[in-house]
Amino acid sequence: MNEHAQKKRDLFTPGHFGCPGCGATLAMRQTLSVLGEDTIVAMPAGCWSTLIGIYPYTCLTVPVISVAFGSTAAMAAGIKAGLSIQGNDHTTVLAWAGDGGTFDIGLQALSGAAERNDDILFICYDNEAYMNTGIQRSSATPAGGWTTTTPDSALKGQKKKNMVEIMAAHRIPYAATASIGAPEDLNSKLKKAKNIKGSRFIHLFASCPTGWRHAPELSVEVARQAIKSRVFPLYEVSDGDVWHLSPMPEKVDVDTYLKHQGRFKKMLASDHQHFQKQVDDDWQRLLNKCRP
Amino acid sequence: MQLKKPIESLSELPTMPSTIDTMAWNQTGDWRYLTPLVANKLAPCSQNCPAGIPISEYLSAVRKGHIQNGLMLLLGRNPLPGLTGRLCYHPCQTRCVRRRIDRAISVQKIERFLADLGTEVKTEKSEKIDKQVVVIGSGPLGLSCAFYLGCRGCRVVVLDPCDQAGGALVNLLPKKIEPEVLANEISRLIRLADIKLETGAVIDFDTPGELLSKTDLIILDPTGLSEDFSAPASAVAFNPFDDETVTGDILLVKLPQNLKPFKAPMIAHYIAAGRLTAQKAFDCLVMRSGQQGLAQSDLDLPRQAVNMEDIKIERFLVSGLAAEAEAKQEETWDRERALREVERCLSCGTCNLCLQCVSFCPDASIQPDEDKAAVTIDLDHCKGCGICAYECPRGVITMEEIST
Amino acid sequence: MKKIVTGNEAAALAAKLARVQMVSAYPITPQTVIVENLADIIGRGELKAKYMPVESEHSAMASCIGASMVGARAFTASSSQGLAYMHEMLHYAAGARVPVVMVNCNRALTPPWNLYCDHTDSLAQRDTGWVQYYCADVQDVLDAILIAYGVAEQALLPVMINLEGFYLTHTSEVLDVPDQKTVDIFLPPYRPSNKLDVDDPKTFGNVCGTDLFSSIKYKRHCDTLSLERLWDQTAAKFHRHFNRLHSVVEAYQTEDADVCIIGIGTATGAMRLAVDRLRKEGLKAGSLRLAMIRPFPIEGFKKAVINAGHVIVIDRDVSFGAEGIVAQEVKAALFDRHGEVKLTGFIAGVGGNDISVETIVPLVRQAISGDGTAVAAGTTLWAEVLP
Repeated sequence: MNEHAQKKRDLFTPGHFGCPGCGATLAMRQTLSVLGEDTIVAMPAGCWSTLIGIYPYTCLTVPVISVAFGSTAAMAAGIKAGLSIQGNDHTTVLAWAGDGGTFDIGLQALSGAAERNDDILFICYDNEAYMNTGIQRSSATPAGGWTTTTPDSALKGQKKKNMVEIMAAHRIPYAATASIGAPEDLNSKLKKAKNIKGSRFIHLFASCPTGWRHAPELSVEVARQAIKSRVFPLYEVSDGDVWHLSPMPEKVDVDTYLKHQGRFKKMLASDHQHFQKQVDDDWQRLLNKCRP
Repeated sequence: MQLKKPIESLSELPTMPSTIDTMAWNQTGDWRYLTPLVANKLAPCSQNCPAGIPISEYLSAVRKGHIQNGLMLLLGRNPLPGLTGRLCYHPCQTRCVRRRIDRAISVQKIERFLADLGTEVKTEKSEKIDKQVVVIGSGPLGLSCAFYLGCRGCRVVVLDPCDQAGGALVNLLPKKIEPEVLANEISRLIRLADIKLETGAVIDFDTPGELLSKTDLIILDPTGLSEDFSAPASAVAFNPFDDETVTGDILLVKLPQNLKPFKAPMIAHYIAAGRLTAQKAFDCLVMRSGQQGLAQSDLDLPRQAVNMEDIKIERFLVSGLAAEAEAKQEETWDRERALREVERCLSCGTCNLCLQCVSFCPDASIQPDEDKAAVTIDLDHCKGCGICAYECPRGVITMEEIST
Repeated sequence: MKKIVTGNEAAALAAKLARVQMVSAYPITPQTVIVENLADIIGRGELKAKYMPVESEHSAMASCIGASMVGARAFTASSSQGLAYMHEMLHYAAGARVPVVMVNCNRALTPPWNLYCDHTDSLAQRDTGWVQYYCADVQDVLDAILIAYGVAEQALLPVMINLEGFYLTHTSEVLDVPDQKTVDIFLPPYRPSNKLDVDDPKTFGNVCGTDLFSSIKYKRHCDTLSLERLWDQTAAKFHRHFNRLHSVVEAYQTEDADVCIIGIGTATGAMRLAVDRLRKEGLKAGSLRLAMIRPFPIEGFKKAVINAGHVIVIDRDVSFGAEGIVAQEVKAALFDRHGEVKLTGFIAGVGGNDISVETIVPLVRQAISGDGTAVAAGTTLWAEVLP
């Protein structure tokens, strides 16, 4: 047993390579503080697998495996199966992937695991682009958001893919959105998810000062504004069927959210009414689905 | 800083590519441009307090259950809390930030509760300085002045020609202040500062007795003294609120117009005046004594006021502790009621270990320090992102350019 | 106990005897019978294992790696397109040093579509670092899988057991089924000291700088090279329990041969028959079966007496733009003698064409005929092509 396991240990230690103000690191820290040390993490290529530390050093003191990009859910499912066949059904297997590794290249394996209802907790920390490779667009990038592959001359037209709807369609026991801007809500959802057997999915909003071009001290504030403006509303879906809205603060206009971020500069100047309407329509659609 | 554990030979290389240690050796603190500075600042209530009482700090101590500590913090700027707790016009409450949510904290009620609790604790007396001071006048100014000089280690005697101590406060008996309360406040003050009080004293500057002739300094507060008491010609007028140094051996305290004549609700101003007088007098005595190494009181070091923009009303974790009915003036609160009220204090400018900064740090580089009753920064790893400063709802943390 | 079974059935039996704990299953012809049989075996409780019907071969390998990383014995099977799909994960498994054993049913790669035997699929994966073994018959299939787990778990490297599509997967032969008790003695449970363990937390496989990367790969390379010996040792142990010997190379009448025919897989049986015929016809022929391609069994190869002046390699595969892959490997192994030995490479049997005695003998004749078409250096001759 190595020295980290011997005493009640900090699961997340400093010295990692995350950017100052990194929302993804905050997300992991909050997640591990709830899930605890009986957790094994499978993480694919992305910000996290690079910032975690340089071999042979790591900033996490739970077992972690750096997996191939598209394989996260399958790798996690395999880990869980391997534990289970040896009689261990208590260790949480956490699949921790970015938006690229979930929405795009990781989608197939995730769908397969969800269809089999594999007993894993899949959390997507969403910074809305391929940030690790230098801010390229993913299907999680919002419409109008600048990235290097959707520059100002060719801003992204497609709306953000709705991952929770996709996961709900698999009828997994639990799917939810959560955010670093609402830590109590995140905590309660993690606690809930931890105690459910079967496939669980959490879409976790993680601000990125580097990619979104906002001041690093605003990482949590920007996440809050995303919730307030309903750009990223908080809700849960049980068994793909029961939609439930989480407690949320009063609604504000989208420019409260957009104005902090350089990636929306052009959109704010030209098209944010259209964006406001999209947000309002999606919000209404969500309300229609939710039970009181 | 943890050292990097290296792998130096093939035999040390694990067969599977697994790690051997953490990243703690990596000094990401080198990335910083700005450094977070954790420093308690004066809350709006304290800023408005004539005596500069560290209100949010002492309420914080009480909230944690360290009631005696809270009382000592209070006494450190106000040695007569039982009186201010009944008389003061409480400008602190006017500026209370909690007003913007529901109702201001009833600071005065809490002050009164703490004062009436009493204390058996002895203050830590500074190293004795071989100086004798006589204070003439046992009103709040004189008593306060005597208290602070006594705490600094001077031998102090308070003389009052009246038979009853209290100066102009005596006129408020018995309706506005109970005689018992006045007596208790004064006796506690004397005990804590280890000073002497003589009422019914004969004070004759023409034929000074042994005390007056052998004393190093005489401070004369005419506020409560009768009209026919005259100061000696050699007395030097001294306004404690001015930036003057003390000269002469007999100080005649000369207060600004707004404090004359004695106004009971302004009691905190008199207490402040007493403290300022004591401070200046002490500095003068130290200089005259030639004694080296006597530290300046840290009570008097000016503290930065909290920036009102840094107080984020919406971010306070107010878990529905609604205000109860407005308390009546005469009411004295019991422990339970007082503690309920203390819970409502937002602790502006003072770290109360709410730990929001800790929970929001992406680098686990800010931690609570129970001994310091505040958070501390791990300067080896802090990247200076500024989230802690931004997220602190009470303005305790600011980002500074510090060359470390 | 003796049974008449196909190669696929033997593979499923081997997985059961090996007490694998995790089976990842994605179907692809001609492997399907393996995963079908295992579904039933596990479903009926004859084998205590997790059966994961994955949604792709990439996930099949990923889930096996995951299970192996927490100490479970993992098994999967695939073929051609599926093997190609999991290519990324093959590199991963070898790099992660996980002892997964996979059966690959050799099949041609598309387009155009062809479900029949062809070795290009697995040989194209030879650089991934997996051990590669090519079975010759049904008994070989079962035995090799058991030996493979022994080797893999000791060396911490994955092993690919190759069965030829249809020729071996779907052909019935007599199989001597070992008893479970003896297999348990030969192959104890998998108990790794390094794994994903909450009581001993580590990170596996994170970003590595230039300082250590070479050393990690070097160590792996050395460990892979040493597998030839490890296989022989494990096979010797197997022989002690089951009285059957499986060598990494099998030489037939090579001691005095002038001409040596070299190949892999089931065709090596036909090669031996061809040797017999050629000898009757007066040619001193011999044959060499390479059971292992990775690591290349250089020691066994050199030890097998090859004094032949002419070596003929029959490849059921090709590396487009170069030559047959086995021919390339043999050429490299013979480099010391390159001045003395002639080598002719033939591409035959791709896409399921039969390699029989009738195929081989004319090829040999063609190779040694000296009419200028056969022996030009660097020329590879193809059988069965349109004129």
